[in-house]
Amino acid sequence: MPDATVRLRPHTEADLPNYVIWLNDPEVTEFTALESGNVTLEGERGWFAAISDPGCRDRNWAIEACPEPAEGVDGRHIGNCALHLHESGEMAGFGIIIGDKTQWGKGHGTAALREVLGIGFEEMGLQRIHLQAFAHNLRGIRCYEKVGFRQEGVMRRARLKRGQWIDVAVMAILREEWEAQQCSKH
Amino acid sequence: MQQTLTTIEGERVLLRPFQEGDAEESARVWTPESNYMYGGSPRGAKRPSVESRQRRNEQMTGSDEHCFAIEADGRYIGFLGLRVNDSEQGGSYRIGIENPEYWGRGYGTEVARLVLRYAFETLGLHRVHLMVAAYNVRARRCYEKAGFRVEGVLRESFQVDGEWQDDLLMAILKEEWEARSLVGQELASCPFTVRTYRPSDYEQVTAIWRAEWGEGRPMDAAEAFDYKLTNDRGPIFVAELNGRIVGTALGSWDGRWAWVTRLAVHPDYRRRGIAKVLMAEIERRLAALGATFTALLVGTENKGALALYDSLGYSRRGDVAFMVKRFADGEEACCGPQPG
Repeated sequence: MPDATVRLRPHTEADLPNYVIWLNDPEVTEFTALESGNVTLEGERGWFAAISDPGCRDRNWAIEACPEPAEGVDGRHIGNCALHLHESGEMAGFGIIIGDKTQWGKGHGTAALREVLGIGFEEMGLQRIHLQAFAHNLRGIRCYEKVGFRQEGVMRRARLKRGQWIDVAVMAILREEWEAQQCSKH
Repeated sequence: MQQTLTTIEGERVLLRPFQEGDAEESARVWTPESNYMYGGSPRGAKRPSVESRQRRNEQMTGSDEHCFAIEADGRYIGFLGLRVNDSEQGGSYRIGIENPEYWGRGYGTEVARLVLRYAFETLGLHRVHLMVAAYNVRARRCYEKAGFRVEGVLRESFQVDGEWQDDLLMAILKEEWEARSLVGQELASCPFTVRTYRPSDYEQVTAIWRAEWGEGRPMDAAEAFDYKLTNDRGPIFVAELNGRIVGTALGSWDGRWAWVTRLAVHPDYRRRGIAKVLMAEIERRLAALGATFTALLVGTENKGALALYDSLGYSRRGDVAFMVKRFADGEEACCGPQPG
């Protein structure tokens, strides 16, 4: 089944009100390090300025769901994702939020992740892409495994979330693993 | 800005702010191998200039990392940094013993212990982690001695001479550190020692068990014991006092479940903290084997044992029944209050 259900594009100022709504929704941030409730438009403007700085080495994208992946048709803005480049330039950390709850469970996250892996390994020449997932976020971990990530360890009680210490799984996919996957597809 | 001007004194080392002369000494004692230890190439590496070391020291001092120069025998031998993440109450630790004369002599372990006490007691942290090159076995051993546990292997995290190398992620939690320092204190104040079981201990160990749980239990037979020793990676510890075995504890680990069994202290030697130290050692070893929790069975009328386990953080499961089925030739004796 083709998973070209999403398109990645740069953020615009017009996206910011969506982020304020999404990030203040505890359901959306349940499996993230973010604490909902105190996200402001002002703060999001600061974030947007920071990622728009030419010195910013992270890659950030808005995710659009495309019912029909046709050129020139604006999709529905459903979330965002990013690669945070390590100082070595050879690896990056991945992060994602699907903020539009009506679009959950449709494979958009998986599709966006596959796009990002293509950019990371082919365009940016990375050796390794890793991410952190709450160990009890089984749905997320299954999605990451489906795309080819392998769990490398668990950071015990590494984050405080709503008063609870959370175990955090560390997952990664290597360039050669991703390349092997591409070969077996064709 | 969290920079501190604290100094910390250990037995052999002094942790203090950087001072004049440190950069010179750092550049002077440099060797290509130290580059390799920290993930660089040993080949073609050039001695750093005093200026570059000076810049590094100033940068560390000006950052929000808690950093110290390490001094031994009145001279600078290396540095350390502890970066605190307030929202996680966590610390990220790094250390470089730059003078090769001080490698392999336990200095790293001493520094790590001092830093952990500073992290958990002074800064009130909850967890300290670090990354170490997987090939740096000596450093890993040092961190394990200080109580860190490997939590994961970050594959192909950096390159040395064109070869991708793995990093190990290691961490220690506050409660693990507390259990360890408890062991240290108890051992210092009591004349007993805790050590791993040896086959020659069999008679003395089973004598304690017979006194506690009765004669003729099949799991105490020499063959059963040999089987456990060969097939189960769980530890057996004994407490020894003046050459006599006065306490025992067994751990069992099959890769999925960790159990503590046979915690016993000779009646003449109770209320000296022996059981507590045995438990701490067993838990530490089970955790090191990869267990994330452990369980035990205890008689509901055994008030002393229940109080001990409560104090050690065990919680009771009220929704579980202990069930036993005897096979055809099974003996009555196997169904005591503390099976295993």
